[in-house]
Amino acid sequence: MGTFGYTCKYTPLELLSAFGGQPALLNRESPDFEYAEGLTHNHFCCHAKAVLEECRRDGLQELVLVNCCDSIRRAYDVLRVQGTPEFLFLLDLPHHDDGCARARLKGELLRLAAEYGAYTGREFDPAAFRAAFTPRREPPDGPYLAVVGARAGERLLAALRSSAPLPVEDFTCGGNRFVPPPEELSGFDTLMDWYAGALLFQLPCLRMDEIGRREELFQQPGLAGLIYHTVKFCDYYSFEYEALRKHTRLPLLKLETDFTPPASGQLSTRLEAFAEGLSLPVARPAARRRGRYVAGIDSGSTTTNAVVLDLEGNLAASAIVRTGPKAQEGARKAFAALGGFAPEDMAAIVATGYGRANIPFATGAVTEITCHARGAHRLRPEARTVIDIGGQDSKVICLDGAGGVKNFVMNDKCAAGTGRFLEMMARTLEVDLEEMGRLGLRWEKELTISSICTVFAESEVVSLIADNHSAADIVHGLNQSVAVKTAALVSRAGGGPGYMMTGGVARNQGVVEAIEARLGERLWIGENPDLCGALGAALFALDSVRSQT
Amino acid sequence: MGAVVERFGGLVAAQASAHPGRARWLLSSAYRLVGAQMRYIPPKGMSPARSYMQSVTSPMMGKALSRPGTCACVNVFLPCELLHAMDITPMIPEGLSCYLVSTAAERPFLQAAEEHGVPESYCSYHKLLLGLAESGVLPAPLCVLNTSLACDANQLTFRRLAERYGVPRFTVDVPMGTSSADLDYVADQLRAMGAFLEKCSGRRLDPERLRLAMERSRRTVEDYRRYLDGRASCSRTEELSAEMFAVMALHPLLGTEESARFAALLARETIARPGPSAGKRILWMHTVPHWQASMMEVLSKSGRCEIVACDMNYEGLAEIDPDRPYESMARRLLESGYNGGAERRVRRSLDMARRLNADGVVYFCHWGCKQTSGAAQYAKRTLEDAGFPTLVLDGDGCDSGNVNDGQMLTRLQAFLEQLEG
Repeated sequence: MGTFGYTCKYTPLELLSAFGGQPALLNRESPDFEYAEGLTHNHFCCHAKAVLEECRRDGLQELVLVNCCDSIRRAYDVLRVQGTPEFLFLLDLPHHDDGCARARLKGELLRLAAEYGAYTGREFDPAAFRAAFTPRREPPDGPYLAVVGARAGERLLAALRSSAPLPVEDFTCGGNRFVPPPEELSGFDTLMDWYAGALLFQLPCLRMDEIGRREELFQQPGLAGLIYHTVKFCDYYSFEYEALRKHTRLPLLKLETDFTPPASGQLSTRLEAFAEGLSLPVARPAARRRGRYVAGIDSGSTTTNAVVLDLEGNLAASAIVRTGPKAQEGARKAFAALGGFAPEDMAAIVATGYGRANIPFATGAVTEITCHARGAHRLRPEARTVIDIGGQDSKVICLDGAGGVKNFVMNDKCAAGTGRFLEMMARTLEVDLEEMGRLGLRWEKELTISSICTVFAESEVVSLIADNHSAADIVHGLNQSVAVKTAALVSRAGGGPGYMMTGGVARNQGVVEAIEARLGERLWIGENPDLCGALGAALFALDSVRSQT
Repeated sequence: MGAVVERFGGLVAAQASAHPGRARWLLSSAYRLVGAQMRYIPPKGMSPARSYMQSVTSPMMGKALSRPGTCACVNVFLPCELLHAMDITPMIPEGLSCYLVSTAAERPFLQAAEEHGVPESYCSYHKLLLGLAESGVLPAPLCVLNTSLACDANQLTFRRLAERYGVPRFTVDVPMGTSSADLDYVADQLRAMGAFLEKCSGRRLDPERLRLAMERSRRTVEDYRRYLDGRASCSRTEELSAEMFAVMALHPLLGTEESARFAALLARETIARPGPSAGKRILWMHTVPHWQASMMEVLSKSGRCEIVACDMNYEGLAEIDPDRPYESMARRLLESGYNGGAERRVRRSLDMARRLNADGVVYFCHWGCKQTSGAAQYAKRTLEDAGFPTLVLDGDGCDSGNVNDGQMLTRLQAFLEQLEG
């Protein structure tokens, strides 16, 4: 019996099964896209590229695609030219779901039946057709999270399921296929007419013209939060996410992937922060030692920052050191720089930041999202929107009146708009970061650096240098470009006045002024903007001590 | 780009977020002025056909901004003869995007779109239009109409526009095949679109006016074919935007007297001036980055090469029978070079490259266009196997943010050296 690969929920699995086919959903991430990009282009939907890679890796002999989108249509085109797989079919799915569309789809089903029947040498088996219908997957009884949006790859789903605090259901088109079985098996022609209607009446995906019924997805009982997934170079789902972001009352986390195996760092930070924001009974840091102080350690990509509080919550010491290659060493250096405090003196130590899981002497870990919110609230209770621009991340966190996280967004894998971006540009300009901060205030001419990509921006900077523009004007152009990225994040997060900025880049006055101009509001910046996350972590450590006394 | 244009763009950008009405007025006035300039004092060296077309499209863009209630927002592939028969002006996002970038006013609108969640990887023509809408500069049209051809962005952009404006929307679903059942499927939808337009506008669709519009389309297509025949043995050096104006004439304006006059002028000019090309003859596939000074320098000013045709302007030259308007419009969609798979698109360009004596092909991968990028390697191999050196050139039709100008220029110049060598 042949195994046929498919990607779309509108694929007539039951019809193919009636000719002896065994369905296999192509849904695996690919470590690289060398083969797929050789056939297509690097600016091509990452899911479609992963499908091409999977076809080759598994030596798939039968593939039934649906013209779901431009990318899958082109994937079909290039596979057809390759002459593989042996059986390759593209089903032309209508965009409508009315009677005329149903008649068209029936025609396509008849064409597929004829071609697959000829390929397998089998006749249509009504019993196998009936048996191939699977029951609807019921969601769990208790609260659960759902992945919605673009298809989530196998490993992403596994990672989400293993680290989320609640059961995770797959509501993407990889997991929400349901076609009810026929009530009776009439003649083949009549049956295909019914089947076309049943396929079309599934919960629509975004390529269909009428998508109002998708609302059902978000109104399921027990649904406690949404993880909204988008894929790089697939544009369909960003539109639905934007609409949801404005209207849903459910907690919402956006994840963008490129269909490579998920990177654990950013994924776990986002998931843990999301879980923290769900107000679920998640494991809180525990106080395990006796001591008169607590500490928070923010282990970032560039610096490790530490804050020590006494048990009344007063600041006792703080330090900022370079992280170096290992988070653990960075944390030890930070402690050493505190001047007289050792981990043993601490009743509790909460770690945050990228390296939070690798600090052996920490008694607990909380994500930097939640810690920044907490620290910001302590420093500035009026703060409602925290803009944090660090070495490799930029994020915007919206706070409620009590310092809780209402919403947050982070930059994706691209470094544009982060401290790393400014660092690279400073290197191109041959100035250090401090000098860059000063230069950005002395500009005279407005220059636009429009590239969204760090690499392109670097080449724009090189061109501007060659055109004899002053370094001050170029730096100002770069600051503007960071401000544009940041304003977009603020808008996506739904941020509003009560702005505060944290992170190392808050020390760069040029960037600060550019963001202020863009937002039309002043940014409040504390004396030590780098320490906000560590302060929040220390406050969580203090909570853990107080909850035990 | 001239200093005046840049200053104008800066002025629009400064008004866009706080005073969208002023930005709209500035743009609409500028487009009307350009229209008047093209009609009465066209630039030296510009062909009469091109300046005429620009004198028609510019005020149309102005009208889309200033009197949107009389316009229907349509995608570039939507057959518009029904609209012309009912005196409804098409508002064409792709056209507006081209105009915005020509007036250096695109930046705030691209940013507005991204701030409203439009993905970075999205087609920038569509992104610009959404930015115009989100910023409030583009007011609500009468209704929104789109085909599923030629790309996914149509479904997304036009759905979002209709939702944002709260206006009715109609989609023409275009299947990939060309069977008689497919033809009937599309023709029936176009009939329903006529009824939809009657309902939205309160106007009656007169079958005789539709027949006359189709008759004008037929003349336009025939004259454009004559132009292409003449182009095989004629050299023309034109602005990069020339092909984009032809796109307007052969798509949303098809069915108007203006479009017919443009094609007739173009055919006459070309047939009257046969002569060998001094530089290399380039067949261009997909949109043209007309805003890019470096590309303009090489492609239309250097004398090293000329663009002999753009595949957007020969994808839909199907036969037209004015007495069967719906079937004729349906056939144009179904037989489009952009419909039915990459093979048809590449095959059509291969035929055109032979017919126009092209020396090479530039396959332009406009940022965000997955169907173009997905077929890039296939197109290159096929065209080169047939003897036409092909350059896959990555760029963007209207967003400089997605462009590495220096690298593009190097690639294009190296390609020309390859053709010349």
